[in-house]
Amino acid sequence: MCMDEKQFRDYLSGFADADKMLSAPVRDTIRVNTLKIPKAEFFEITKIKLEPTFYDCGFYAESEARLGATWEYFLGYMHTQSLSSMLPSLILNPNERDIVLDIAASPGSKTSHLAMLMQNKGAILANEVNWERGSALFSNVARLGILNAKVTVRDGTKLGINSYFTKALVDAPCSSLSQPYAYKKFTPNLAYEMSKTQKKMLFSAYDSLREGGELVYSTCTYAKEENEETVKLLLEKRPEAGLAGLEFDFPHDSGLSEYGKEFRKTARIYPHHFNSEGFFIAKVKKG
Amino acid sequence: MSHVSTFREYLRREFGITLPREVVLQEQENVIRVFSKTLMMMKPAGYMGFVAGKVSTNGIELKSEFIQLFGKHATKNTLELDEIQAKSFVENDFVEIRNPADSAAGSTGSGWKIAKSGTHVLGIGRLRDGKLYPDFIGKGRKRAENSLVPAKKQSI
Repeated sequence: MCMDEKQFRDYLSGFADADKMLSAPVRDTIRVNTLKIPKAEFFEITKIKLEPTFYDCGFYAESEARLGATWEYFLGYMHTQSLSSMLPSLILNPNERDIVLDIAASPGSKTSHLAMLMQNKGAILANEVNWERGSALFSNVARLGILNAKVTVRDGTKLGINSYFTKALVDAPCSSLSQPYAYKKFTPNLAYEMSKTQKKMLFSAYDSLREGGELVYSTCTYAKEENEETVKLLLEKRPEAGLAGLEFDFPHDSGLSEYGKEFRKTARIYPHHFNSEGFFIAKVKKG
Repeated sequence: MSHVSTFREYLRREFGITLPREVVLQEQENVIRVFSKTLMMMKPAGYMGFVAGKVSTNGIELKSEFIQLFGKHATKNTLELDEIQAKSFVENDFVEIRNPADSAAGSTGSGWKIAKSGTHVLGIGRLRDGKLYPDFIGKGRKRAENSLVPAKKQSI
């Protein structure tokens, strides 16, 4: 059975301050795409009202026009992306020599961010299971001028690539409980079903990493079955895997310690932290 | 001559564009794709970079996204659009060009032109009978609702 608002509030109260979470407004943010325009030049030409955040390329944005229907967007100078969803790429922190897997890449927000951090060097495998969703990925790769990504359309849970990538991003499909009114469709069974796919995807990505490789796992849901529990299973089944510090300073709560002290290294982001959507982020090191 | 060589020669001849050495062109499924040389090390098969254009019996087509990235290297067949023209172009409408020689750099009166507005490379369009027709964006993201007029500089 799905939840109503009161049940959702009770559910959230099990691990966070529900009043704060539900009363915090979520603001629009953009990421300046420095692959196409230097930041200083973007500030000179844009009519979008910008306000800085903790990330120097991410801005709170206000515009009379819809942000996705601006010249700045058409010309690929910027991408509309929530501030929370910029964090997984920042935490993975790829460089120009990395070979990176983005296992669930569409619509390409994080792929394009990874490419930007890598300055269009190195290599990214941007995978998407679904051709329909893949079209948004192809479109954003072109619009944002991404030259270091190879797009594949495969089932990420069965990638079958071993010990190849230096870094991997698993921004897993999830119950999206942080999205407005998603609780109306949420059931414990949905979280359980999603977690089955997430676990397969996480193992597939982890096994594709070289020894010493790093992986970031993220979702935009609050359900612990899809977050800490999924990562915990990986730590149990792959003894050489360990949680790593996130090494990027941003407001957040730690992951739920009922899964072990090491989950203090993971992050739960709620809307009141910086007026962005909720997220869970964990960083795992192989070997 | 391979399609890639034909494409590269067309860029040089028509627009004076020589691509940077770290950029690769490759034909894949009848289109020319552009990507970074570093992507060659990625083993699993897939779609490299993005579509730069196409070589066919009808001639050579260039994609606006490709031109937006590399059009800054063009030395000829560019058209400088004013603010109103640029807005029309981005909105996927044709643009009246009264005298191509007035606004064009090394341009003849017809054919494919790179549309620029100040420092912005807007894309590519075909000039015919005094009108520039954009070869541009998908229907879903056709309309820009704001203006690209230089704003008062923000101090961030």
